Amino acid sequence: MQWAAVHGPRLALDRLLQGLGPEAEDLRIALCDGQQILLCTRGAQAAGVQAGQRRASALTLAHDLQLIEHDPLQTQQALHDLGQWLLQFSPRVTVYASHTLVLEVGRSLRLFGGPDTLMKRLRQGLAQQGLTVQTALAPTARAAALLALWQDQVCIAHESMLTQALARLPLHLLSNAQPHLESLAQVGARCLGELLQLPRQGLAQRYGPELLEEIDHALGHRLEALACIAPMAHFDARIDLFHGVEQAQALLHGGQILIERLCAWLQARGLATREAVLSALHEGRQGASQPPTRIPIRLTQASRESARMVILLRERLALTRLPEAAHALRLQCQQTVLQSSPVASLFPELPLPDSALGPSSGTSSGTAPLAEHLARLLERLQSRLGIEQIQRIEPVPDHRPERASQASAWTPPAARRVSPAPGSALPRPLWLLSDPLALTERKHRPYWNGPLALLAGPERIETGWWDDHLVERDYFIAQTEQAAWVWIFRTRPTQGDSGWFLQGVFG
Amino acid sequence: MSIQPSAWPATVRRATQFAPEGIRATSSGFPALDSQLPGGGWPHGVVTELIARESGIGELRLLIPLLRQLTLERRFVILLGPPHQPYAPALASFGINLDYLIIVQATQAADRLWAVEQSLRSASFGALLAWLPQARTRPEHIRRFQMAAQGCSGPAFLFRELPAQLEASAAPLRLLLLPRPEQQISVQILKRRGPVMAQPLILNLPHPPATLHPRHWSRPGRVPLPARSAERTASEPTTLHSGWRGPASAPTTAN
Repeated sequence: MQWAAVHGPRLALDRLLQGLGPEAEDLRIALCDGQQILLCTRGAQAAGVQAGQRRASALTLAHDLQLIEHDPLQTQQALHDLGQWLLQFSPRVTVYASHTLVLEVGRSLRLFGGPDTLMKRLRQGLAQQGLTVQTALAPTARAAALLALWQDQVCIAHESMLTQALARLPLHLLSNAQPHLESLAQVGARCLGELLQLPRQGLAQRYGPELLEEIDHALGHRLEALACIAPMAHFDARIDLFHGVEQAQALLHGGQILIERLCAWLQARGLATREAVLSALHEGRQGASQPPTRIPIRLTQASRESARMVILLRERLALTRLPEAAHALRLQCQQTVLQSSPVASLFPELPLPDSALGPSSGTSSGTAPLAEHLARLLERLQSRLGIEQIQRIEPVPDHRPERASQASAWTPPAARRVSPAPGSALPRPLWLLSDPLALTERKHRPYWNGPLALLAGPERIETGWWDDHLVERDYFIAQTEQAAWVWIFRTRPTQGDSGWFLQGVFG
Repeated sequence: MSIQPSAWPATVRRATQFAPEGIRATSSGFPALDSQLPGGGWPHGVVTELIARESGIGELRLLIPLLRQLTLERRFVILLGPPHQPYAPALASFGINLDYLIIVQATQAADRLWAVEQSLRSASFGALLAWLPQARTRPEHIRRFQMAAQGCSGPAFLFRELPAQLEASAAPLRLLLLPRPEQQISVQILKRRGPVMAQPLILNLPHPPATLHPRHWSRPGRVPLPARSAERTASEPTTLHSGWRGPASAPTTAN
């Protein structure tokens, strides 16, 4: 077994600043517990503020320091969120200590391409979320957790190397050694290697069996029972924004983190989604509650690719106006579909440049990437212009021209039953005006930027009496003075006032 | 002393010659036009400007052979910001597979320009037909589009209005379309990677399919005007589409 440990020494502070982006580090903010400073940002450190300082001395060093009372619940919540995110790498994730999580990755190493790639991905993802962590990889959970606490990025591949790697571990990191540090120092044991030199029997008698048990767990002499966390049944996550955000575009960073979490959750459960809703929560003025601003992210195909959703979110945010400052972000995902992971091929594939696909190869091998690109393009267009603005048209068997062509929101081509349009004796125009244009009449001739000469017609269309959209028209093809063809009709005099209308252009 | 032609780099050409080989293109369906276009058809990876004197003179019918070929090859054609609603029965009667036609409506000029650039960047279409808002289009937009189009594997057309012919443009191919009587269109190549063309081409536009051949139509202006009164005898309709009005008669079409 291989265990990875993630230790977040400043989870509470990171969680507080998460929605603001990397520049939040330059603000002078500190978490305090009563009179003592617990954690502070780099901006505060630059002013000389340190963890462990008294509150008063910190304020003397930096007048504009923002002090926030530490809430242990924040750390717990941050640990829980982190655990949910880690489930994408392994189904066995355990909250190990107050700031540490461990996950069993031995069975995931192959899938993610080896320990180095896995840890790199893990660290990149955490850095993106604005979390400062130390990681370690070791054959036992306890050893990994201790190493992450001690150093960063340690990797121990085999159990036989454990004793040697842990020999220099300072004893104060062992939770059960902490009450006995002084007496241990007196017998000459300052690190784990020195402790192991002492007789086992005596250790248990003098310092209690718990210390021995902890060492055995770390070295793999004894197995440790660990409770795994379960993935959320429905995705619903939120991020508090440290200060109110008024510009919708400034929500992108927080939204991106939530999308990363959503995609990790989808990955862990083998799901994909077509819609997620980001809500910007407002505090409301003078007690009056302001409903949250909903920003839906819709995809044409179910996916769990975060980059794709972030692009759409950016477009949506550019169009969104917040009625007032947002103080928190919430991402929910209601509808999901099952989607198995793509099966990697056994043999390495040669990379194919997409742009090199010509029209000849477009129908065979090139169809998949092109279709994928197109789906992404349509998603982006839909998110900015609106879903109903991307259309497909199809003929409808109806003689009334305005009903014979139906535009609907675009859907990918499927095996549809094609209803043949009713044959017509005279040709139909390529363009149809959405509303027929009333034409004037001069010398008993229709007139539109000059007199129109009738070429063919009349073609009588008289139908629709059954649904109250009765049409009684005589259609003509006419030629303008510029020699363009237009499609005009004259209403039948039985309908009261008759007149000429332009309905189509032959293009 | 003259420089030997063989010593020139491949990208150098005489002003009277076409650009060197290697331009990918799709046939326009008009042999006379193909012979005048560098690459022998509508070029890929560049934007082509079609400047029409007014909309409706046959600028869409000029592209009908291309659209028919592409949609039958199951490649998508995007119509971006069309001036009117495309009429499905007419397009279908030209043999165009409507499943592969995507219509993007963008009324705002800024949205439309954005959508053109996005489409060109994604390079996922068989052909792009975009109608540009003349008042908002600047030469730098065309340059951006031309840059974005370089990865495209299909032709991209920008429809522009007449004033655009006097503007500078980064499009390597610019065509001026003028109406002609008798269902013809005059195509003048304003700019191409090749010699200057003095004479415009006159092309016969593809005729809309119909059961009644235009041979049987009247000469322009010869169609008698329908009488102002309600009498039916004044001009007998060519066809009659009537709704189902009784149990015995189904909708009929009589020629």
